[in-house]
Amino acid sequence: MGIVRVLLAEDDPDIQKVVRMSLKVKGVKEIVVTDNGEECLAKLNEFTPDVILLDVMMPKLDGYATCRRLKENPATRDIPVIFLTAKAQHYEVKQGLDAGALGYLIKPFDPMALHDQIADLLASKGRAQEGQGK
Amino acid sequence: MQHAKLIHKFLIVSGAAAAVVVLLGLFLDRQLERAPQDVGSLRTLVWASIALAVAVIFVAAFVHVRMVADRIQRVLHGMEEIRKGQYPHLVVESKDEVAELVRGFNQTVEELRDRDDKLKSWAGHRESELVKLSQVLEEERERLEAVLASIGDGVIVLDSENKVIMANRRVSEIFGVPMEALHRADLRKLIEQVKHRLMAPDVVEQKMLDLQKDPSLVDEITLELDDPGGPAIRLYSAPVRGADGKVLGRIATSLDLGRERELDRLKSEFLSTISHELRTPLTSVKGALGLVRGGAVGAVSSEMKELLDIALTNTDRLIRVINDILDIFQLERGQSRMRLMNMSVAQSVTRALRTVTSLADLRKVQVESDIPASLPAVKGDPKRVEQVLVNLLNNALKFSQPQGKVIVRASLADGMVQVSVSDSGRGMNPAFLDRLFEKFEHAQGSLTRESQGAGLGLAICRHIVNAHGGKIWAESEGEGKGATFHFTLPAADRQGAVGLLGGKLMDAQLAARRLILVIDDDEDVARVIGYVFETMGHRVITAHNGKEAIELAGKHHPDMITLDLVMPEVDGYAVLRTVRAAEGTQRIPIICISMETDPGQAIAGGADYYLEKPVDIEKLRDVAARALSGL
Repeated sequence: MGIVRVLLAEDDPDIQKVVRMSLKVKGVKEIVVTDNGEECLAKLNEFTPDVILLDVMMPKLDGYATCRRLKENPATRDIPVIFLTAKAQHYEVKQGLDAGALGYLIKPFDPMALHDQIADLLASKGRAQEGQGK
Repeated sequence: MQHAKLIHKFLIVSGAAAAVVVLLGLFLDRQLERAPQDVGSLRTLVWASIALAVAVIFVAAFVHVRMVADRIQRVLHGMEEIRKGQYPHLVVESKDEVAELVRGFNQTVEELRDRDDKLKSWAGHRESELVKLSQVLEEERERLEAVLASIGDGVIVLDSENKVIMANRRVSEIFGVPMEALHRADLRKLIEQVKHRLMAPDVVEQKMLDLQKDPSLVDEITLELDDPGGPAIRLYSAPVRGADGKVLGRIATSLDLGRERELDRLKSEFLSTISHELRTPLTSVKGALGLVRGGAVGAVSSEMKELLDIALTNTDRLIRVINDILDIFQLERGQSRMRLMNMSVAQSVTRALRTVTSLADLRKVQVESDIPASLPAVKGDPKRVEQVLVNLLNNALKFSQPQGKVIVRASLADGMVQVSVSDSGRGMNPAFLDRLFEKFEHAQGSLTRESQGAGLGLAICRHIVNAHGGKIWAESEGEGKGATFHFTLPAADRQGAVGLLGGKLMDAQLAARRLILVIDDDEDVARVIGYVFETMGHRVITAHNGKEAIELAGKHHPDMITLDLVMPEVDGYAVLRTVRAAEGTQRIPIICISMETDPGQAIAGGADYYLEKPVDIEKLRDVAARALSGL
């Protein structure tokens, strides 16, 4: 599955640029960037991405809470969420996955490999769904 | 009565005197009767005189006796008054012996009064001293109680019979006993109150029995109480000994585990924050450099590539420093558990040499190893042992001159395998050798040092080696004379040894019992795989979905994981990523067992081995043995 539309929630402008460029260079057409969880949730009223990339530490609404709200809402429940964060301890990874995320990528990341990592995660979801359907 | 006795005696004496006078009269009368002339009138006169004399004797005696008796009676009264606590003074009426007696009496009374006065004054002084002492004691007691009360932790002082002499309010809260009931309370009865919350009741019970038998044998009693119904605490108790070593009593203090846990939480939060705050800007730096280097913004010339590689290499160096800091923190906190297994030193050396090849080439230093084939396996965590080796090799290479030589040797001595990394490099002042393994230490001064790094590598090595039960040290004959770093690891016991016998692995049944996490959403498959490991002598826990698997991996830190890749919700790949990403579980060997036909993706995702379903049991046993041996 090719990644076409990505919604990023990330408060650091430099990292926003790096992520945007990392994905664009690999062929992602539309990358919408928001500065925090609240904006991210609001943006979903007008935009349906293939995947949502969430930072954890953000103003207004943190990544974990944003992910939980996304998974509680029937309209956004099925959009895959991947954390892209510098929170690297075991309990933090677990907290992210418990919130309903598909995957957890830890910063710093290799910008040239980011797209493929996301694609792998989305592919694993596809396989899991096929497995369930078996 | 005394009076009457005296009179009676004096009457007898007077009677006797009168009788003598009468006898004398009779004698005179007989003589006068024989007289020739008539002396009748004379005889009458004699008898009249005798009668008068007798009367005078009686009256005089009576009066005299009466007077003496009265004076003696007054002395007797005086004595009675002395007995009642008074000091009578008697009047001296004449100059006779009775007067002397009265005078003596008065003098004795005066002396008695003086002595009593002195005694009273001394007693008064003593009493006031006693009052002062009591006040001082009371003040000291109040001060001690205030000090005890102000101590947040529980403090309890016991006598030689383990009865409470002193305790503060915290003790009353801990044991749920009112303050007033604590005094003279028996330690055993207090422990009974919290028995249901004891973390190790059997151990405590044994200690109490020992204490009953011989208090001097019990040096420390530690009670750990869990949360339910009261605060989580740890109570340490130690005997108080006299100069002769005899146990006089015990003193115990409590540690609030709640506060300790809070401190631990704060430390963890600090680690998380520091890690986050350092990783975030590095993400931008590494990201921007990586994009340019990767050609995302246009063609990159070879000179630009060279410069960008320098920047990227140094970014990665910074990331390694962060990881080292996190590593040393976690090692110091005992959070990084070593996954000890029977492992081959030779294999670790080979892998470590491979890791440092590019640095060795860059420095133009020759690296060799000399490991005897007969070297037994060691008990170690393969990844951690490799980390130590890479660290020592990196150091040796950094301090070696071009055309120099670094050699890794290993030997067996006293049940320990000793690994040595020697270089022909710069060496160091022997005075520095002991400090070398401290954090942030460099052989050179901070301003003159030529090596890179935060000075954490050797400290991390020491923690890792110590956690294996080994030791690490360095030798150098001086600057310019090279250096050798040694570390030891316990040799695996013969039964648990894993080695190569005729090219085939020894049966893993001989290896130590391990904990294996089997993850498969199909309960029957999980049961079969688990059964295979149980027949090999290992313990098995199972998870049937990704979430449960991640939780169990984080909680139990198993020695090995088998993982089904296709599972609903959180699939095997997500589990793989989480386990590999999370500190604490990232080094667990993972065998993926799946119906997927492409093992490449699983291996790329961090799996160590891949087996296709339906799994061949013999193959599974063989791979598990390899994974558990770190080979």
